Amino acid sequence: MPELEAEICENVRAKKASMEGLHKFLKALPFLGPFLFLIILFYLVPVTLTFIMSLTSMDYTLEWNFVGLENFMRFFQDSSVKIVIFNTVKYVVFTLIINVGFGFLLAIATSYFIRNENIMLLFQTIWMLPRMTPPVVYALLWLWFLDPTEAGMLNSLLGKLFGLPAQNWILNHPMKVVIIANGLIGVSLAMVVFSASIKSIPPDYFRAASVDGASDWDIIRYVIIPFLKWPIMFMTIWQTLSLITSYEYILLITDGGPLNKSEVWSLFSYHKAFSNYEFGYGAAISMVLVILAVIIAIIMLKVFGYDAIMRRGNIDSTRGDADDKRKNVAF
Amino acid sequence: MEVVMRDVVKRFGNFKAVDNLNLTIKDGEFMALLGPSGCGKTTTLLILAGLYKPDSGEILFDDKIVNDVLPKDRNIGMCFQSYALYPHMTVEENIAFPLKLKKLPKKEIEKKVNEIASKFHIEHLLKRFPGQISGGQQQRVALARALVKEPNLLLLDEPLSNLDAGLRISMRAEIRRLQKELGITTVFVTHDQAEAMSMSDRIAVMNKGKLQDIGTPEDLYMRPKNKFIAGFIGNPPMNFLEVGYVLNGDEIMLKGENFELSLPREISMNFMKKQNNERVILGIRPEHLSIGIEAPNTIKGEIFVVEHLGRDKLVDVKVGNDRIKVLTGQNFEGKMGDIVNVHLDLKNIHLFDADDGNSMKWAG
Repeated sequence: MPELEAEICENVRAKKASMEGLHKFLKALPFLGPFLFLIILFYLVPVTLTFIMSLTSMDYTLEWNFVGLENFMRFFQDSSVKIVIFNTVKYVVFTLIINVGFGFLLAIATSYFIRNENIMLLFQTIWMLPRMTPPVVYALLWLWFLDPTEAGMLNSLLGKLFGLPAQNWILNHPMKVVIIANGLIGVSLAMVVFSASIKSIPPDYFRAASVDGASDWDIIRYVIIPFLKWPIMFMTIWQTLSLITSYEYILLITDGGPLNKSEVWSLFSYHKAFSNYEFGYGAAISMVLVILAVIIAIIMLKVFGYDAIMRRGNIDSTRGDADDKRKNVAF
Repeated sequence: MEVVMRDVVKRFGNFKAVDNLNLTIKDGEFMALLGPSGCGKTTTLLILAGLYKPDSGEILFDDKIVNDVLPKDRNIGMCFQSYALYPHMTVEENIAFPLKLKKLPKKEIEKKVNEIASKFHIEHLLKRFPGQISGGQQQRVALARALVKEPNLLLLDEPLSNLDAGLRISMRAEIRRLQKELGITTVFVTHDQAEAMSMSDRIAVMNKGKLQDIGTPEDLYMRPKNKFIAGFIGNPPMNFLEVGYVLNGDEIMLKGENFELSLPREISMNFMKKQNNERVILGIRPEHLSIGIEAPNTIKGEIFVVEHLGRDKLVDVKVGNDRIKVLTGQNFEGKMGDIVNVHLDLKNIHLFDADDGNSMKWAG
């Protein structure tokens, strides 16, 4: 009865395979476990709670009164929403330009033009300082720097150098202050990532380009930027997503003011929930933001090619491809 | 274009990578820079390219000092060991890159790229990316890119070392032929003496940043100026035996651990005289040794191993604590452990000073 035997064999094999799968999962569990636990505790649970809360009219009494989609209807009719969305777009786009663009320039300056490891390290450490500083301290530094009186650092600097009158920077240019303060923090991450990528470009490429007649500008355009395509895309996606939901520095520097002039989406939700004690409404606002962020993330990953980023996150792997094929097939 | 390097020094920190290098490369010449890794040959090449600036000395291209001329303005073509083909550009774009930087009109670029591609038989690869073609093909593309702008000087940095043995030998001949056809002055860096011997008009041998000697392959092979060159050029390498030197009238006696050789007058007069009992180094190539009957003026030893090279056999003979290699015919029957007598072709021996390694042969 060979058929039966074969069938038994097949069954045993399938069982073995499923056992193996389970075995592998158990092996991986100690590594995945902590993160799985944290994600569930600090992401999935809050998101679920927020979603449920967004369907209630919870206020300072903290009662769960279900009102269906009323909060969402209110959001789309709220007159401040327009300016909040406008501010958010402005904030994300311009901060991103500073983050990625300025980070790129600094990376080029330190790892292409200067090339001295010590100077580079010093420079990078200086740019890292804001990131290492607690947000509250960093925000206080800005408040102190932009102090509206004549004794304020920026005011006295401009007064002494150019004789300009003192002004209230935060009141007059809230969005610009917020964008610059936030942009300068993000710069360091992009700078470090880009510097590392530039340094991992094999030196022969720079040499070949110089000998071929390339100026520094040509080298940046034809060698560095193409090699940094993936890090640039990654930084752009990463920063976009984190900027959409960030508000702590704005809260500390301008608190969204004056009026709604520097109020962004996530801060709007925070204010509704924790200043007005409209928890239900606040939850609904952030729910819309979460959905929007997910959509943006999916679109960006599709546009930039998520698979490709994962596969070719660094330069070595692109070279690896070439090396494999360099196995001297006779021509 | 004639290239002259005059007293060129390049330091990295305290390390002298190139030490007082003087070198003249004639117009249209194929010059190899040969030496072990770390000898300064690639540094020399990068100095010629303008990628490194010499700390002192002068570089002249056709009598013009070019020390301060940027690489992009030197009109040189360079081919790297790694090929350095831009992975994000197609083969066509790679080859066209130097012309694009020169801001040539599109039509002209296209024409030149097609011309050079057909010369290198890579027309069918133009639309592919470097990652999609073989090592040999990448090599050709890199050469095409270096030559498309019709450079005055072609620099090749170990261009063959990433290829497999068969391909390397066929590329040697092709590069050599192409260079002669185009008549471009070429500097070729290699650590492989066979490559240098087979391809170049002249070879500059370098060691530890210093130029050891410069000459035609034949010159360097037949009349090595010092022990380093003698040992570096030739495969299998020259045998060296440290011996005592005794002058006996016009004859030189060489005393080894368990052998004695006397050099007759007509041979010993080729060498500079030394003090008696000084140590010298006897050098002789495997092809100038043979195995024969017991006789005076031979070296007795025990066969350590016999290597089959196909056409010949290479016999390792243990002489005291030394081992010497003897090239014998295919019909040699000796086996491991046999005691044999090694005959020397005394006309082809070399003697080197034991201290500085310089050849004791009278020059010229």
